[in-house]
Formats: sequence, C-alpha cells, structure tokens
Amino acid sequence: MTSKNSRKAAKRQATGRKASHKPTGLILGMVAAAAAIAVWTTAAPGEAPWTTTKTKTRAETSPATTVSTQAQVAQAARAQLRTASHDQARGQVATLASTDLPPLPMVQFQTPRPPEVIRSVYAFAANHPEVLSYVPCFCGCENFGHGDNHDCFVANRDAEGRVTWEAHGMG
Amino acid sequence: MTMHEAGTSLADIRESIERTYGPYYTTQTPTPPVP
Repeated sequence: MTSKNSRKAAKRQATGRKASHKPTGLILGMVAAAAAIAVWTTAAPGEAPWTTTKTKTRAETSPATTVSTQAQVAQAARAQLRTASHDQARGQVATLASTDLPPLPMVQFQTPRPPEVIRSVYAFAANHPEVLSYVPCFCGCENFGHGDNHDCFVANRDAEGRVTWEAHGMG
Repeated sequence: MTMHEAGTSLADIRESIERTYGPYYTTQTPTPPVP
C-alpha cells in the first residue's frame, strides 16, 4: 500500500514538474516576442529599428558624450573662424544699450566688482568685439577653449547680433 | 574699456595689457596679433 502510494506521488511529482516547465517557456517566448515588437514599433518610419535604438540609448545614457561632441564642434568652429578674419568671426554685432542686453549670468559667488561695473564691462564686450577679440586673457581660460578676452564675456552671437553671455567674466 | 573710451589705439591697448599682465602669468589665450 505504502509503496503504491509513494509510486503514485512520485509519478504526480514528475508529471507536475513536467507540466510546470511548459508555461515558463511559453511566457519567456511571449516576453521575447513582445520586446521585439516594442523595438520594431518605436523605430521611426524608414529607419532600421536597431539604428534608432542605438542612437536613443547613446543619447539617453551618456549625455556627457553629447556635451563633449558639442564642445568639440564649438572648438573646431572657433578655431576655423580664428584662422579666417578675426573680426568677421564675431558675426553680426548689434550695438545695444545696457538695458537691451540680456540679464547677466547668475553666479554663486560675490563678484569682485560692483554690479554696475560688471554690467558695463559685459555691455562693452557685447558692443566691441573688435577690441576684446585682440586682447588676450591670462587667467588660464585657454584651457576652456577661450581664444581671447571677448570669449570670457560672450559665449555666442546669433544672426541678429544678440549675445549669449559667458559667466566666466563675472569673477 | 577705459583705454578704448579714452581713445587709445587697439595696438596700444594690446601692448599695455601684455606689458602689465604678461610677466606675472605663464600662459595666455592664443589671441591673434592686432592687424
């Protein structure tokens, strides 16, 4: 009797084990299929899904790479402009009153000069790139890609001559 | 800024700044010479 029961139990156990394997494999297969469909549907039309996924992953997981690429592009553009006419490198210069210039960058430290002095120096840098482009800076900022004193105050000029400030000149 | 507003030439501004700060610093920006 006991041996018959134990044989039955062993058989049940074996059958149960066998039956439990089947759903697990099915679930894994479904998960893999769902993942493949998800990757395929998120791809842009006309673009291979693996390309999109790779690009997205790089952009999302390593913003430092993007920033470093942007810095390299900016530095290359600056170097190219510098070898061309240095005056033209500054682009359009709009002569603007201090009141028409963007607000100065916010900094976390006490500026070494009063705000009105700093504002007038930034305004001078915005309106006179033909001067500061030929004035060197000695603070070591060439390590940040600065080519002259103008770069310490103005980071960029758009097509209309509007400036984007460089906070470096604040201190 | 002060020198420019006083009418000093760009070459003189550059020369003055390099004379004033150059001896105290080992590096400077790769600024092109005044044309």
